[in-house]
Amino acid sequence: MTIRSIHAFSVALIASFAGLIAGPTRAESSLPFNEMVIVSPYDAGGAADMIARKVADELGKNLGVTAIVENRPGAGTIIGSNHVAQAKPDGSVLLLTATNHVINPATRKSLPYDTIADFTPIGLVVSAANVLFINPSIPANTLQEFIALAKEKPGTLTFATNSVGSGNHLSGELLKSMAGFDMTHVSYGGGAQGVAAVLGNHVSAGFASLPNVQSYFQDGQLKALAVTGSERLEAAPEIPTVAESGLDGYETLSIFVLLGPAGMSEETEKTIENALKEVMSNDEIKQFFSSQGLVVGDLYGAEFAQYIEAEIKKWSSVVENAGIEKQ
Amino acid sequence: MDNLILGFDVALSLHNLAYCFIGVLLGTFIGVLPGVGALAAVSMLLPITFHLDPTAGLIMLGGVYYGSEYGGSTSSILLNLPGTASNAVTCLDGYPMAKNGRAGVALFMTTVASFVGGCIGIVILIVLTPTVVSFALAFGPAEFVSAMILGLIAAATIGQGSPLKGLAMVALGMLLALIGVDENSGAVRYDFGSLYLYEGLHLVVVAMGLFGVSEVISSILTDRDKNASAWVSFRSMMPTRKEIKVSIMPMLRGTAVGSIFGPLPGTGPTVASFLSYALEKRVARDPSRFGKGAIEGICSPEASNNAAVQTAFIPTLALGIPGSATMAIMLGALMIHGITPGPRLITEHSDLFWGVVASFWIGNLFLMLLNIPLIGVWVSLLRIPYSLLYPAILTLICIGVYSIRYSAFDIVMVAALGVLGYLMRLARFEPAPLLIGFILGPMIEQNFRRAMLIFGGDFMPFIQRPISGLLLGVAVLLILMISYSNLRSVIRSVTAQTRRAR
Repeated sequence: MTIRSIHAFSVALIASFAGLIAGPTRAESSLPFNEMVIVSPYDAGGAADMIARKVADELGKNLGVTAIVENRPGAGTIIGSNHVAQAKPDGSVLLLTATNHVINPATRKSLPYDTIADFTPIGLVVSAANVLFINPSIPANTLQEFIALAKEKPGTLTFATNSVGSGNHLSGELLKSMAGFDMTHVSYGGGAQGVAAVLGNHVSAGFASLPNVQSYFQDGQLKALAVTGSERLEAAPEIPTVAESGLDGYETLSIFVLLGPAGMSEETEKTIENALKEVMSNDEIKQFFSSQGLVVGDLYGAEFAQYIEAEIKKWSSVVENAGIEKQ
Repeated sequence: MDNLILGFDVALSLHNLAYCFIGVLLGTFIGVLPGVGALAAVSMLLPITFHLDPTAGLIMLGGVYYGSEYGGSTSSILLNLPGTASNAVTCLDGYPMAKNGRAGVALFMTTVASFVGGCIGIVILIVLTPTVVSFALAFGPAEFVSAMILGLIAAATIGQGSPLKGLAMVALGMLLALIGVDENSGAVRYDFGSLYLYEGLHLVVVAMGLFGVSEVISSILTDRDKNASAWVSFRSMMPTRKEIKVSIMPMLRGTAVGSIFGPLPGTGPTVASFLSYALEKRVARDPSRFGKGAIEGICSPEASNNAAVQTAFIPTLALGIPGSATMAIMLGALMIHGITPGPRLITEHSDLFWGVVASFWIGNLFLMLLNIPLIGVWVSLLRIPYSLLYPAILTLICIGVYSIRYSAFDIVMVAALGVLGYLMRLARFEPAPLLIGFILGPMIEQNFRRAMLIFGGDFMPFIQRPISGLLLGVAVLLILMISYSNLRSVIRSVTAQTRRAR
């Protein structure tokens, strides 16, 4: 192979990748651009990335533009979010982010952007309640028994989550402060690793979304205690909610939201919002998300903006109560 | 057996065969190109799998993943530039072999070693999945710490120079790995206020800077003589009978090491290849041959990283735990089709699981058939003047590094690490121990602190837990062995000196 053919090869390689990613040309667009970038501030392959890709695909078809996902992970979603905050507000660059976005204001000393003022809220795409589960060797069958056990033997129980300051970590902290018991948090760097730690009986408890643990419940390798949402899950109606188990008012959700940069014109925002509404009301799409344990959000515009503000407030009080130091 | 027949039935359909071939072909090329690794290729291909059926998608992505391990050794051997991080250790003996005019043999033997490691890895994937899963689950923080300590001690002897310099490099690697957010507390360390350092340095950035860019820099100043034998006949690729004989055991030992570390999340092929090299050097009768073109030094790590990539599919598919970022993307390719990996995958999607596993075998066969005829082509690469080849390589490294997280900052970092690597070469510090410290250091720290949280600050479980205790025992034995042999050689040289003095 000569140097020229190496060049030719790499050019061809890049060109073919670009072609494959761009896909076929779409119908005439109602927006002043042909290509839309949906930034995912997470690594390729995870749940947030999967949701972004599905939304990009469907939104692109609906709007008649080519929508691609760009992964800009780093700094707990801050790098990707900052990129979108500074983008041109014509709707060609959007952000599909998750719970970290509304937790970051509470856990970070400084952010390069204002979580509310620098973004145009478009809609709550999907949300998911998580499940609190334990290793079957722990002598508790309900959340009350688990809490009683923790109070009886303080310092013996542990719980695993993906990282410090994650939604799952703070769900545990909220549970501890509401029920008044002690349980040591152990960060595992990834949700699946945390589940494995409970399976291997290295850690007593954990939080995860239902599809990731449901088969272990059926096999008796893990025991489900409670659901973090305000309602029981359709796919596992036998698991009670935390609120039902005596902690009235407890609710934490993993959320996945679509935002644009601040300063988008109302017309552009409405165009994208309506497209999202249409896409998400499709039964096939709903079915796709519900098979992953995700519930379609159905919150848009001003209502959605209020929801974001309320979430930011909720998490910051959890962080404060748990005494987690800002980084 | 029925399952395997089902699997081959799926994998041998023309459609799936085609995707398997595309995957391994692309994987080989991606592997050969320095800096561009499976991670970049797999994430670029992910959007395509969206429109494929999940079996074909996973067959293709899997092919890229293990295919890159085949190709990666090529540039290690010919150019002293690792194709991927897990082939870095192959530079140590592969490049000296090429300088001795044995490039063809080295490429042939690494292909065979890759095939052996890959095939045995697949057998383990088929036969031992339940056992490996329970083994992986039994590995808690304490076991990880003990295994990594053992690995670190074994790897401390990986270099050739003074052991003290090796230790200094391990420590420097650990320090570099401290940069970024701390897994256990969420605190950010040594980020100098930059968001780009929040997530720390990426392994590919460190490996490509120290091994790749620094090699390019040092080649500017030293006018390297071109390799004479650019044309390789089939005969000149053939190893001698003696070379075959000494390679068999290293391949099997490498496969064993790879099969142990492959399924452990976080370790993967890079750790496996370094440790199997360290093991070979330790069991060799004459360790001084290593670093000068010992064939064991290429066969073992190449068998090891291929066994590791195959067995890494066990926790990914059977538990849904991705051992690496590349594996996470493959999980994503399944999730997008509504398939959740986990214990039910094998029963509920048996055609997918067995089809993919059968395709691994077919893919390995393709790779073997593909790579041996290509050896001649690769060796003729050396005829390209370095003034053209090296700028192209630098460009490829930049593309590869940028594609990991779309960060131009990483390109600056790879250049900076290249300069560091060059200065290290001048002072005769080796990059291999640094890389080992960089990978193992944070794993030891994170797991040690997890263990301390779980055990409530008690050290005894490290010794009391059977697997952990055993591993620590072996580590202590290894230290004793190393100190004994060092002490003996010191005494010998002292007596020799005193004799000379008389």
